[in-house]
Amino acid sequence: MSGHLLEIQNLRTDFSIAGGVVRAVRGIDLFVDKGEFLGVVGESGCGKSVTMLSVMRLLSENATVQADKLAFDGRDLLSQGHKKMRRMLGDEIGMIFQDPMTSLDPLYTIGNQIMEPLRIHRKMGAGEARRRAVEMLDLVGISSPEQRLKQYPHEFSGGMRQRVMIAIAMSCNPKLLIADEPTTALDVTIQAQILELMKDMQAKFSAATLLITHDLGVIASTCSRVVVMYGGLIMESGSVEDIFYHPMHPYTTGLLSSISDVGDTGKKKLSPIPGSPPDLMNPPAGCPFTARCDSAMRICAKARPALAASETGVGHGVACWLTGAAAKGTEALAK
Amino acid sequence: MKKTTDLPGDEAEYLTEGEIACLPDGLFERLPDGEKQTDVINRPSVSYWENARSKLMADPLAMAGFVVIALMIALAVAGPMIRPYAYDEQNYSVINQTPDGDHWFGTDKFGRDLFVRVAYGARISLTVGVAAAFINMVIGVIYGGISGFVGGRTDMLMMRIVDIIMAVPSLLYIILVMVFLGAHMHSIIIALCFTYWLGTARIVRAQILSIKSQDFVLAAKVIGESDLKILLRHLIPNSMGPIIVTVTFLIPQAIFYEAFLSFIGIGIAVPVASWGTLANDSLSNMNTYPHLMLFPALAISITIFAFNFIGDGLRDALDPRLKR
Amino acid sequence: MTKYVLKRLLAAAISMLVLITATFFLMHAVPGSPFNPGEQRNVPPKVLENLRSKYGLDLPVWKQYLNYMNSLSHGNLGYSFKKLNYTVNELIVSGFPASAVVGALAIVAALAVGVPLGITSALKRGGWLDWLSMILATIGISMPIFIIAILLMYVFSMKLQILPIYGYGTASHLVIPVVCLAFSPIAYITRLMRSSMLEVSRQDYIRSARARGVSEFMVIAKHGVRNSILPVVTYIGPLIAILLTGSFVVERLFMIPGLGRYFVTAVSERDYSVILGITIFYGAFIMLCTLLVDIAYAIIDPRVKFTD
Repeated sequence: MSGHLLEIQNLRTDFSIAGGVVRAVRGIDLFVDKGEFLGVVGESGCGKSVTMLSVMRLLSENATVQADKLAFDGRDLLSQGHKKMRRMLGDEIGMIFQDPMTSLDPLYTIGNQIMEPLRIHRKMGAGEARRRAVEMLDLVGISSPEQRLKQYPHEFSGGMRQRVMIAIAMSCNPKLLIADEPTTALDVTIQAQILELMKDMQAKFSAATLLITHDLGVIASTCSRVVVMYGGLIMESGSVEDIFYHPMHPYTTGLLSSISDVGDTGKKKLSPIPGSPPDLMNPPAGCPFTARCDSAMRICAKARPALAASETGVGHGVACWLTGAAAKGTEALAK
Repeated sequence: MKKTTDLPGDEAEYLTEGEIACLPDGLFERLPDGEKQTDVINRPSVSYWENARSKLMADPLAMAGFVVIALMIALAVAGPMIRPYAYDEQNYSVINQTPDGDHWFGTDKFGRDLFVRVAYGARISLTVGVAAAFINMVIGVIYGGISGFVGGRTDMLMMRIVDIIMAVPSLLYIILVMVFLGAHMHSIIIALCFTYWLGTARIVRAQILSIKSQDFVLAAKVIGESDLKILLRHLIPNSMGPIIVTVTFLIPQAIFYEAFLSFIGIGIAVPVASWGTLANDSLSNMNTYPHLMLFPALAISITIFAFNFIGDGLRDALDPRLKR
Repeated sequence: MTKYVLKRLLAAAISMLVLITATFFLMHAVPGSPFNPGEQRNVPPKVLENLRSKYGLDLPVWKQYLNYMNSLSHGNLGYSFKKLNYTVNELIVSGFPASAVVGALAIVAALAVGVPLGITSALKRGGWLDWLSMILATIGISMPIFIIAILLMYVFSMKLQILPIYGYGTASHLVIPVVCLAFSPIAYITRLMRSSMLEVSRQDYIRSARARGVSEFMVIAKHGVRNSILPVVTYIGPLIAILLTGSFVVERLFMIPGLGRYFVTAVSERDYSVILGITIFYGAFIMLCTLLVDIAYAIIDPRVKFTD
């Protein structure tokens, strides 16, 4: 499996805070292939953002990150120093964050900030970097880029700023684009535009894209593969088909039945998942979803089910005692 | 997929295939709802003031500050009484004495007992500090309260006035009033009253404005409570925390100004002993008799320290913006 | 921009007018005039009479006020009542340079020490430097300047005798006064810079700067410092007023021939025209500084619009 662009094995991230240790990510396996569009979905606090920030070493000092394997484009990230890691960010890996209103430094012009990665990674001179910046702004659909370059973030709307963030992230032609809730803070109409732009950019630059979101709708319209996270663990992963049409995990099913569909005119009843996510300072011993699961069994509270292949599709994995081989007997768990 | 992850000190989180095969059937029965481990919120509800009090009690610096201030008050009240000297009693046979059993802090160049003079200074400093802070709180609350509550043009005009007065450093006003009223303790208090309420007024106004826009005030209006009642029952009590914090910080500032003015010779005049005048007095002989400087200087510093610590503690305890 | 400055200047002019008027009437309301027979016993009444008419003190107060405002509009602050044959303008011209030198050095020292110390404290939170700056700040905020001044004078001038006790002229004379004046501002700026740096380092734009590969040093130097220094810039305005307070103590204690010392002397001698004149000068100077600081702030922070 060395063909993966990004490969994560057994990632664990803890935060030490005043009251104890928060186990935000508790052992996650994940991979992104070249050029694919992967979605990671889950409620807030499930560890989806922390997973990405852990890999990129962008967490605060009170975080400890451990993993069996972290590799990007054939290189081992675990042995990479802070400085080497930083050299890959913005160059081979671009990132977009949730809140475009606060993600740009208010004291520098847009141009200055777009040119930053170009000058650092590509060692471009001012003139060349400016030309490229104009080109990028044009590419993300900002009109009169020459003038816009000299403006400050507060002169841009939220949607425009997210376009600028995309321009910055794509400026060095990265192999991987990580977008952390890129549309959450935006108006619905703008959301669609930004997603469209992201798909566009992916097609143009053929960069793999990892989209983190809590919105299944966003996933459905963009991604090819989905990973569902809950309580710092992966619950289910598979193709969009698998997840939307053959969900195996009760949590995925719950997520799907709690979104509303514009087409339904009140006939379908929304069924929200009762309760709230587990406290990760004191994570439950077994499956984290046990407390909110309608079909929980005794074992669910005692032992954590491993992510195992489901027979419904190739690459469809579920971490649930209901579907695991164990529930039916002693079938092999091998993938 | 291989899954054996032993975190240091953790039990194995996943079972091996062999172990799974040996699991008893009972484990695959439905888990009754009652046995599900759900989050329980079991923090006792604490009122704002109770919470503030317990926070304050847990702050060692603030508590130390309270102890120091209590001692200073004791010194101010009882100090001059427990020693057989008056603060202005001169005795030329015991001039410039170092501390001993008769004169705990020694004597000055006129043979006056320094302990009694420092204790007397504590009276002046504490009186100035508390009186100035209190008067300014009253003025500030009324002014800021009216400005914030009435709003509109009145508010704009009142705040413009504050801006105009604030543009000039308060020290200039203070000195002018001192010149006008002469070197007395009450002049210092009055002088401080000219400018010190400005900050309080601004804070009270900001508080009132922010609380005024909250829903519980709207609710009170809807059920027909009068404006005055809303002001007294909702707005003032809810802005009490920041007001108390501001006022606590006014006390050490007032004490500083008294000492400062007296030190540069335009505050309280000799023979009345304030800490500032004592420090000023001892300057000329400082090289030979440093103790004359030491005791008043210590008294001023410790007192201001203590009030600042209390202020910090109160701010942490009372300011909800800092509450986690 | 021009409109903003004009607006600010107008507001400052109103404040000045209030200050001048209040000061003028306050000084004239003080019982006893400098040339009253009661105060100057050994001067013949006839001479006092002449003096009073020379200074226009025999006119009704409102007329004196108009006269004063008139001469003020020509930049003339009048004569000193005590140092005869000295104009207030001459006093200011002779005293201001020394005050300005000491004050400017103190501001430079406060920024040069406070800003880096605050940044390091924030970056190495809980380290020994952080603790040291915390202790320094507590002392600097609680200990009155005259006590710090006396302490330094006692230790370095009297006991160790490595610095002159008082006087003005050489660089060594400036050390203790500047340290005294800068002490509390250093403490304040350090804490301000520290908390602001901590606040800024939690901002999203710092993380996104890291995410586009900016080196840690540049993240702090380019994005961190410029954003977190804004509160320090706003503090420079009040700082100038605080230095004024300090200058009264320091110039008196170290015998620096500055404006602060003249002012304190004038206050204790009740030299009303000098009090009035120097107060007006201080007021105008400080308001001008505040305006300059506000303009500087707007240059650093593009979000500030010169509209209101």
